[in-house]
Amino acid sequence: MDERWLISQAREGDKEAFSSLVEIYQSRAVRAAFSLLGNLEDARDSAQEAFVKAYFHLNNFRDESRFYTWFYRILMNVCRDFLRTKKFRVFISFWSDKEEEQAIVDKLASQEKNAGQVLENKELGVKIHDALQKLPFQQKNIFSLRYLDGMSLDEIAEATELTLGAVKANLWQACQKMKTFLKAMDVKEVSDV
Amino acid sequence: MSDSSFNETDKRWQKALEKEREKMPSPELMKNFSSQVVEKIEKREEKRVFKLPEIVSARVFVPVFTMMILASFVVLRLPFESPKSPAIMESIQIGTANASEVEEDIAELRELGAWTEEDEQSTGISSGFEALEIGNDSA
Repeated sequence: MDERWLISQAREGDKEAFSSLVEIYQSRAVRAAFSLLGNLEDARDSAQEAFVKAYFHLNNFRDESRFYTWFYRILMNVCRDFLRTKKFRVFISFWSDKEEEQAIVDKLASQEKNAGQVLENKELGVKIHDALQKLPFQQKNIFSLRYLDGMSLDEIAEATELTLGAVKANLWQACQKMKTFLKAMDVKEVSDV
Repeated sequence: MSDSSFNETDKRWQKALEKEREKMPSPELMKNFSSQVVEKIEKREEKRVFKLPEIVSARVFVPVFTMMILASFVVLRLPFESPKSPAIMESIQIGTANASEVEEDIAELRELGAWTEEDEQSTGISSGFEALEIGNDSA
């Protein structure tokens, strides 16, 4: 379904249309919140809260901008508020056992990789998210948007309301710090970055 | 930081974390996500119906309401004279009435049978009203 149509319907109070819009972005939103919060349950709750806020402020959304970059600003603020008001403990259970098992079965079937490699990849994810939590909020935010979400630099500038130069500067600093953190954790995959 | 070094670093990180980008939250975790969002919206809408209009609940009115509450306490604690009861007012009227007026009233009551000898004895007022001393008249 067309995103613009869903937004216009949701503005008129059509919750089913908004629900469809949520389904398009829900996984991306939870993943982004997880990068900022480092806790899966908190990430889920924060993403839901951000969608609720987005619904009540849909009239502020300008049609010329992208929905996700507009929504991401709300999500970022919800996560920032969450971090300010609540202490949280970091634990990694992002990829469920079920998914992991399925991944292992798929890899064994295709004879491409063995189960050990899949587990190793999960370990990389854990270490990256551990290292991310050591970064200041803005750098963590920009790093995860760029390398874990795949946003372009222009999109990041729009989502964070920063200039392109400020985005690059933050990203550069984040990369240098992440390199140091991951080297200390003995992560081979990013040794050549 | 030059543009070329930034671009190179950027490309290397993009490549290193390529597989991480493909990972998504588990379907178990995302189960009922959107329906829960809609439930939360509906609950919040219900709350909004019972919520005071925003203008009334605006923070700017907090000092106004505080002053109103404090002022009402001050007013309640102010010393003031209570209005006199009807019984006191009546006795004041009698006290200031002249002897002839009281005598006329007693005569009327006697005609109606409402003034008996017992009343005369208990009040000490007799038909010979001259004995009664009433402040203003005696003065």
